[in-house]
Amino acid sequence: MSGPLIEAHGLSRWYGPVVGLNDLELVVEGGIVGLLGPNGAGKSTFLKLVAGEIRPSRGTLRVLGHEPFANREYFRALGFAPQQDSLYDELTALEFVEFLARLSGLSARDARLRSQAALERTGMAGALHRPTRGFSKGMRQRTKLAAALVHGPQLLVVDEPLTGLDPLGRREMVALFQELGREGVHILISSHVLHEIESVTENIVLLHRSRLLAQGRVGDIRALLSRYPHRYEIRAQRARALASALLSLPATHSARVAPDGLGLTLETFAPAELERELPRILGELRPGLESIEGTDAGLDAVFDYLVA
Amino acid sequence: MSHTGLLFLLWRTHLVRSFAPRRVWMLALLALLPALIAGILSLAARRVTSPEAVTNLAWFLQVQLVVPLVSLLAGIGVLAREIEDRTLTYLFTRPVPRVAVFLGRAAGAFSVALLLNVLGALALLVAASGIRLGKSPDASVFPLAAFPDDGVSVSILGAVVLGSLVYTALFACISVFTRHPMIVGLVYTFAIESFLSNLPGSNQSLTLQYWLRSWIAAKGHPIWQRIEGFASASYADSAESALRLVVIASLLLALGAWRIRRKEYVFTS
Repeated sequence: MSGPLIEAHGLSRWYGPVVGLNDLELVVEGGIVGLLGPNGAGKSTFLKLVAGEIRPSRGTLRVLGHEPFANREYFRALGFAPQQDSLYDELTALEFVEFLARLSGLSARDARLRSQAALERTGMAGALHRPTRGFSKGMRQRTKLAAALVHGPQLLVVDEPLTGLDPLGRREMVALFQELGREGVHILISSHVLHEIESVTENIVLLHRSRLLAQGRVGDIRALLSRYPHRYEIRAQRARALASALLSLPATHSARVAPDGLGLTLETFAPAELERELPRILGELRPGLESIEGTDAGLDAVFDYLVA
Repeated sequence: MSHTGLLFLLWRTHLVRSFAPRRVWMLALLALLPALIAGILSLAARRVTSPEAVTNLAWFLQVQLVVPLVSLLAGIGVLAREIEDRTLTYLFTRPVPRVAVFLGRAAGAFSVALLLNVLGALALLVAASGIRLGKSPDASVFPLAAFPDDGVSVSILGAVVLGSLVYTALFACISVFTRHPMIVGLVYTFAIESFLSNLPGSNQSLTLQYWLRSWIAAKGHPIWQRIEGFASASYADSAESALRLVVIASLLLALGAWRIRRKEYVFTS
């Protein structure tokens, strides 16, 4: 691939009077990219544009060097798992994936073998010959993903792929995305559940109200938000004593003890400095530390800050 | 994959999906409706002969309503069901020509409509052959009674084949242009085909029904002339009728194929 994976300039899409995406300027180099935003942010519209399902109302979009809409050459390199759960209910999982594999140009034999492999890879080995009409939401997600993967795409576009999966299924799916990423497959994955994306990738694109809100690594974006302190949630038997000790540090912005006396919320504008000092204080004070979590480095916090 | 192989794959998959039991029963019931009525007549009728039952049921019910409606349900299945289920995405994000998707599925829809309509017509002939009216069916006009003549069965079957073709093409084409092909198709079937084709005068020739009736009138036994309203139109000859219907079907398929090439389908979540 020469050039960026996705390049959008002034990209807009509207549905009659409703704006789906507005004047998006975006360059994505590749790898695994998380597309985030609340419902109605424009994520699905952007994915549909990238998947070549709809065309821009204004502006330009190039993916893998192609204009996506109804572009057969581009579709050879694309694997798309849409948000909707519908499959061909009359077919078995294997027949469904095999049919789409044939449409992607695989021979009958290759289509059969690769469909089996793709379904096994997405955890559907036990349901190859079951009609899809009886599938749960999670099984439909896995089948859609197998269909998107079966022809070995360069770019995998998946819309809310973790919805409907149980915790174990989510872990398996996240592991699969990471494995695919290591194999060199570019992945564009959308979700409105922020921690899901965070577990897959650090590279994110944030959309809000049909516009680009931010783009980059979670940590980098967080660093740009200098007016918002980093936050740590600490659980300790002697939270008040710990709060008192921490407030003596120049790096500490604030320390609030929870009403139960066991929790402490610590805020700082200098996380690196605080994290250097914290072990020393914990060692000296021995406050009965139970847990410490830098919640504010998380995507939830970044997103909350950005859309506030 | 070759274009032929692709069309075959799409045709075959469409058939597999269309003949799933929960989908096909309503179509089959509709296709067999004239036969069911003929069966009831065979048990209860006292003033109708087999040829009269067959010709009237074929003219007013089979060709005028059942064939269009079965073809409507089959024809809109080319795209409407995929749009409704939002599964069209799977087809339109694969490296296959959209035209092939349309034509392959239209061929599948035609096969479904043809099979059901021909079976329905054969069932009508068989069911009506049981009507006795105290005497044997007239073997000269009703071949299933004694099989000497094709003046009824061949004209019906020919009209059913041509009707399945042209109506399936029409409704498949409509399914490309509108998101509500069922409503449009029903309005067309009842308001244009059923109403206009029964008005006296040359306006009848604006309907597909007129050309199907022309085929029957030209090919059929004189018994068809006993049907009420038969004389209110002057019919074209059979070759012209068949040719016109095939050309219309081809043009409709070409129009649908042209439109689908760049048509955008927006699915909301």
